[in-house]
Amino acid sequence: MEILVETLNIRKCYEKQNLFTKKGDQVSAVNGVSLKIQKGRSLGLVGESGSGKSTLGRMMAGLETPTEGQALFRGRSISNISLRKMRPLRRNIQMVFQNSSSVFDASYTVGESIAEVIKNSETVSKKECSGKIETILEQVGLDALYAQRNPKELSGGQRQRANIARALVLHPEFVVCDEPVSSLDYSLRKQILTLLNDLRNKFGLTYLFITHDLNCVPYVCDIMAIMYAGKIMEQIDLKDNSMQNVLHPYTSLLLSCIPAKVPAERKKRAVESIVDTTVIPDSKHCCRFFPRCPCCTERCINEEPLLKEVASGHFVACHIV
Amino acid sequence: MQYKTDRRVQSENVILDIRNLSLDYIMPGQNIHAVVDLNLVARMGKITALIGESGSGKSTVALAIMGIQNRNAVISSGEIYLAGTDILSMPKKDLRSYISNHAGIIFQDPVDSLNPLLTVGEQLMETILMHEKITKKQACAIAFNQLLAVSLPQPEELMKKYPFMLSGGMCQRVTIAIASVFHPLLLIADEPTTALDVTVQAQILHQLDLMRKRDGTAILLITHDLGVVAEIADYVYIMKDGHIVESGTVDDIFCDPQHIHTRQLLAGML
Repeated sequence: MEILVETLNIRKCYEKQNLFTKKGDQVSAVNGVSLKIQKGRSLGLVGESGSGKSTLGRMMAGLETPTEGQALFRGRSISNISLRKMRPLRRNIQMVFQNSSSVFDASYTVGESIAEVIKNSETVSKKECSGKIETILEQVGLDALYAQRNPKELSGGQRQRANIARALVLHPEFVVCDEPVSSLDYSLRKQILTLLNDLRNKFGLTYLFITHDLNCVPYVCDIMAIMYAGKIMEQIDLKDNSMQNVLHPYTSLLLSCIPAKVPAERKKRAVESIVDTTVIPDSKHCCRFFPRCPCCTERCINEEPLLKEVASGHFVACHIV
Repeated sequence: MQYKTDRRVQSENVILDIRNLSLDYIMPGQNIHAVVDLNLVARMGKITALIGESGSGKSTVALAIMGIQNRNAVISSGEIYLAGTDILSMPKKDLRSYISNHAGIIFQDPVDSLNPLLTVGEQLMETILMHEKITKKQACAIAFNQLLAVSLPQPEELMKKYPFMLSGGMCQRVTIAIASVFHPLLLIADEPTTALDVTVQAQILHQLDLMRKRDGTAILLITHDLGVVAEIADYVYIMKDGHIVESGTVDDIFCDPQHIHTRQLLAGML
């Protein structure tokens, strides 16, 4: 199958700005990640806050310039290209942002906000434009009348639907969903995830689905990638492998933290191993997870584990596995 | 001083007993019935969960128990017995010290509920000195022990730090430490883990579980996350549009839900 999006050993460093000195320390958010997403598939990127998953997503959407390496779309680099060259690609790469209330301009109606996206890359008449807005709003399950509303008049779930409509109105091929359900009520999450799934089947979309909630992953994702401190720790194809087959200690830790679904499933868990202060070792020649790892060996402190294939479609970066 | 009291409340380990509480928000042109005829009981050493979607009035209940509801909120009827005394019949001057001695509250966003201009130690000591006439040194010692009690590492260094220097999970534990300085009988946790990662959520839940087992605190857990409820709650109240639509033990609610709204909520679980 055709590979639609790819990253090649991508890296992003931010400079920590100190107030009084010019040069600050470097903080590496993403630290050499190579990912491939085939057309029509959806990759779930999971990690705790601060693991660099949003930065990686933004680089894959061409919104952030990598310090090293590059992101490719259809085999062409979208990093370090001019805005003019980016513009035709932009209609194929869109992003659904986490906070739907800050996506829309408060003084525009929802329709005007979506119209702006259309006008940005197409020359259309007013009538065609409003027709397109109507269609997309209906496709995300909103009445066409909502185009006349102000964003603050919509409820959280409706606004998230409008947010998805804004991203999909140009029928992009690749959509980066950055925590699309995190700010929603639990009762709404399933609805929005189902909507994302339906739209994917309808338009043949490719998703990068960023989340910290492992529960969402089986609903929308074909592949799950676990990220920790800017590195991919484990990547597993959920079509061939069950989610319970994970091997990396960090993934097991994340899985064990999911609350029970029914009271009978409550289990005793080792809360002690979940160290709160996320200490990330400075050294480049060690496993980044070793300070929190319950089965850390000497090798983990001296040598960095590389991502290796343990089964078909299942990659793990761990010495013990 | 004679307040309305209730003996049954003291004998059956009931820390919080809300009876027929109705609360309206007075808005220009209309009144919103945020809470309608609500009955709720929270017992010592148990976690009582109040579940509802956003806008169902669950946080309004929490604020009313603490006596910190909005100015336009009017309690039209009902009683709130906190540790056996009806706080609604109390004069305002006694209210604040009574409630703060018997109940504590933690909010959803831990970073927002701490003062960014004060260090962690200063905030803890401020609370302690407000209540007791002791020296700063003694207050400092209490603050130190309090941080240890919520399993925060290296308390002496932590006391000198500002909230922005801590992670979300650590901030939430500091707010738990502040809310539980005087070992309140009731701790209200208003969506304590919604803003946090799953791993941090597991720790905070463990902390709450520890508090009810060690100190016998009654915990009123307000949330919309049914997973959290299945994990640690004992009793469950389901709230919709200001009404309690169903209540029962956690096993009853999850295994044999009666009300259609409860079933919908359970069906919406991931």
